[in-house]
This record gives sequence, structure tokens and C-alpha cells, in this order.
Amino acid sequence: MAAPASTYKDREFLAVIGDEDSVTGLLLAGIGHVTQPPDSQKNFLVVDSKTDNATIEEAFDRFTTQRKDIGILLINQHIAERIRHRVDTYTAAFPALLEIPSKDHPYDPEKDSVLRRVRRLFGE
Amino acid sequence: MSADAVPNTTIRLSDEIDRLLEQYLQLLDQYTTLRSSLSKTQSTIYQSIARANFSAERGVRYGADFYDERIQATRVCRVTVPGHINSENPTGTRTSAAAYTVVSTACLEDDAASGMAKKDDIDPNEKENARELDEEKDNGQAETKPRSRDPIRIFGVFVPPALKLAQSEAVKMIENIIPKLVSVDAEMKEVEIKIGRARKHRLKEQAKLEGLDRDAASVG
Repeated sequence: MAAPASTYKDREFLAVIGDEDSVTGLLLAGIGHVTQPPDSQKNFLVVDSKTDNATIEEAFDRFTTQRKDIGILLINQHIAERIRHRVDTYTAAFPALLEIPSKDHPYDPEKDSVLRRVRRLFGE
Repeated sequence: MSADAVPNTTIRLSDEIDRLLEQYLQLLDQYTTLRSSLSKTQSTIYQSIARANFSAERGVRYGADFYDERIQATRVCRVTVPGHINSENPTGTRTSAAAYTVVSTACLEDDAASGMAKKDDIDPNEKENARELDEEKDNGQAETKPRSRDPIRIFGVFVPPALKLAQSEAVKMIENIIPKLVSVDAEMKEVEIKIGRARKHRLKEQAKLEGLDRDAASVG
């Protein structure tokens, strides 16, 4: 059965959790958005070697659970690896979650959650 | 239920599963093709950003230091969940999976403006009011020039051509590849559920059939 419109109609932003170059590229495309003050919530998080996993998890929660205006969440595959337990147990229909490669970490099909589902379906 | 009806149901379910698996493999093919396009496009973006950083003044890096705290999205996504027909799918199978598109807010504003124009044709009083409002707006705009909404402006007015190339590739990625990838993923999830249900149903039918065979053997 199709999801009720109330669960997706206001989801207009793309959010990103990624390294600096990934976020820069996506901001160049015009997806960057900061909500009106006093909240001033960003829809992007730049992750570097100093960012701890708790911060990544918190951003993941904020974009997937708390905020109702995010339609697609993009996350670098190597960052998704750091919170793999959260990413693999995420089953909500909205926002859609997509793991994308980064400059230093090319796409690895072995880690792709979609291809893992495919392998499961075919009994591997 | 007759004993003959059970195998027929099992065969019908097996055919249904085969059909769903075929559909699933087509989606998987689309997914892997889009994945490879995404990797290629992203690699061009990263190379272009690296070139822009290389050509920038000493110490300047096109990155987080430039991000504007008041940035507003110029591209937004639209989610629709009707019983839409997937144009990528040659069989045109109906699906209730979410379909995603990414559009420029400028296009949305143009659509809204053309919608307003149509409305104006209907009500002459409203048209007059709107004209007055427009005049007021124009006077206001004459005093303060509207800020460019091009997101590349957060990195300055004069940016290297490599950064512009990165932007055009990023737009391509965000408008053409990412929405298709997430739509295909949503469709794959839906087909997975259908396959799971059909397999479960077939198992039940097979168990029923085995039960009937056992009963027949014990009677014989």
C-alpha cells in the first residue's frame, strides 16, 4: 500500500553527511540549506578525521528521524561504514538513504547495502 | 479444494516469482549502470575541485571555510508515491514505490508565477492589486539589488573555471543520477517484498500439497 502523503509531501531537501570535497560538490549543485534562526539547522555535516562517531550518529538521527523536511540523505560510503549498525538497521521509507563514494574511498560494491540485499534475496 | 488445484496454484506462483525476479534483475541492471555513472561523475567533480584548489591563491581552499551560514537551497527534491509507471522499465509495470525528482527552485518559482498569471486573467481586481504590489516590489528592488542565488557565489565572485566545471557536473549528478538511483532502490525494495510474499505463499501451498499426498498415501 502506498505511504500516506503526509509522510513525504514536505520532504524537499537533500541532506549530506560527507567529507569536505563531497559536501563542497553538493553545495555547488545548490542543495545546501540553513533553516531560519533561531534554529539555523544545516542540512550538511562535514566529517573529517577528528569527527567522532557520536557526532555522525547524531547527524544521521537528526536527518532521518527528527527533521521531516529531508527527502534524500546522502552519506559517503566510508562514513556509513563507521555507523554501519545504524545504516543497516535503517528501514524507514523516508528519507531515502544513498551511500555515495568519496574522493579517497571509491565505491565498494561489497559494502553497498543494496547489493547486500540482492545477495540475500538470491540466497547467498 | 481439489488435489489438482494445488499444483496449479504452485505453478502460477512460480511463474509470478519468475516474472518478479526478471523485473528485479532489470532494476538491478539500472542500479549498477547508474552507480557507475555516479562514480564517474563524482570523480570528475573531485578532480575539478582539486584543480580549482591548485589554481587558487596560496592558502585558499574551496571548502568548509567558504560555507555560508545563511545558504538557501536552489535545488529541492520532490517525492511522489502514486501508482506511477516507471519510464525506465520497458514493461511499464505499475508500482507504488516512491519516485524522486530534483528540481531547481527557479523552475518552481517560474511555474508559480505562470500560475499567478493565469489567476490574474480570471479576476481583474486581483490583477490590479498584484500590479500595485509588483510596482512596490520593483521600487524596493531598485534600492537593493537582489543577491545572486547561484550557489557558486559562496566561493566568491571570481572563481576558477575548474570550479564551474565541478558545479555543472554536480548539477548533472543531483538532477539526473541521484533521484533515479533512489527511485530504483525504492522499486527494488518493493519488488523484494513482493518476491518474499510470493515465496512464502508458494511454500504454504507446497506444504498443503505434501499434506494431501500424505493423507492419500495413508488412505491407500
